[in-house]
Amino acid sequence: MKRVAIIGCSHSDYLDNSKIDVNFGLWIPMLCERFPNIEFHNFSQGGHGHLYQDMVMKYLRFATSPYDMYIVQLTGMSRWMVPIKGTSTWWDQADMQGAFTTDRRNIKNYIKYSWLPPRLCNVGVELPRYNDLQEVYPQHMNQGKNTKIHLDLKELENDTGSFRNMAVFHSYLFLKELQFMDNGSMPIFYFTPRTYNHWEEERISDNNLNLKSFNKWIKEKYNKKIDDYLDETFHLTLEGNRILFEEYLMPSKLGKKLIDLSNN
Amino acid sequence: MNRIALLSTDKIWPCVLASEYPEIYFDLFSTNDHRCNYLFMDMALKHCLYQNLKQYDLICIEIGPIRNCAPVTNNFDIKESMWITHTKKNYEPSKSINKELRNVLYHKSKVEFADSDIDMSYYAKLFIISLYKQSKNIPIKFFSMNAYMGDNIGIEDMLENDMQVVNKLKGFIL
Repeated sequence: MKRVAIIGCSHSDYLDNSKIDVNFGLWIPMLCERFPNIEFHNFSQGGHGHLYQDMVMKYLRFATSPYDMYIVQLTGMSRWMVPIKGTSTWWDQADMQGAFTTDRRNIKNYIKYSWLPPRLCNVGVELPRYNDLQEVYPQHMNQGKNTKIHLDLKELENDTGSFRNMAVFHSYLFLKELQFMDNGSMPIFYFTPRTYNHWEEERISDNNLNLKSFNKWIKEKYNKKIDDYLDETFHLTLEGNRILFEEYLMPSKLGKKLIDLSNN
Repeated sequence: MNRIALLSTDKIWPCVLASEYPEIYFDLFSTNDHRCNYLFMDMALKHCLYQNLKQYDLICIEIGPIRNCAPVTNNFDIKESMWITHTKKNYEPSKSINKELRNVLYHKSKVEFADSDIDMSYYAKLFIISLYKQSKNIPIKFFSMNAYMGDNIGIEDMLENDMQVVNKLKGFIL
């Protein structure tokens, strides 16, 4: 069975969890249903940035067997990730593959990978201690395992974080690496459905699908505000996800590659 | 060899090495903060391989501590380089070499960050694995100083002083 790896943020972090009110990344089950003979391994993590994506890409490229295709859903450029004080042991003991838990959810050709070491995401400047966080975020500190905490230590607006900093440079270098992999004939495809799009703001192409940025593309095609396709969490609605999958991704070379994988 | 990239903390070995090969151009990427060592090296390596479009005959990487860091507020234009390129007079270790090194460009990162004493070892391990794998196709030589994290120069131990590094790397310069 062909295997496709997906790396992204909340826009691809499909959980299929009836216990939560919102479910992100609804284009993912559409993908799985369309291609039942392809197995999709989803490494996406809500709230995480390109440092996490870079780490996962290192794991996929260098520490495990190759996939038939890689889909990277780019995210905000200023996101970051750091360990929590007092959790070094978990970071150190986690072996390469054992650092992920896997869950098939309710889709037979879908595996959701969740990374275990405790960490803070989207961090500003100051790093808190694990014990402090246990008091503030007891619901997150699940025996130190599978812990991810979204914590903005600065007052952030529009997810810009401390924009134009080290994280932004890292994001740009990560994009350069993706472009290199693409030019090296690695089957890798990247894009972003984010509506607040740092890449577009910096006039940097956010995809290798030969398409305009999704938010600009959808506005031009439907002559509507992007807000019409967003839910209260600023993620795409079901209809927005359908347009993303059926009309943006599937006609592109990403869709053609999936069809090719499915047929061969 | 025409051009070599050296990724280092602020040590003397790059200057000593460059002084012995005046006919070779050296790009030195250095940080004086050991605490973000592997992340700095990762970003410098990405720059060398995917951004600056120079063809390196050899890339030497000094691996050290595996701690982490977090960005602080800056306001850079990301289309500008994150590196400040300058000459010897601003680079402290080069003062130990009693001659002008006209074959070296010094690249300092201008980004600032908050450092942390927490090891981010999982990421660091993957970085080291990536170096091992990439060095099969790209002329990368890496070694450890301060703490042993790995090497592909055949010693399986950390190098303890600058002259050890120089003598070992000279064996890879044709």
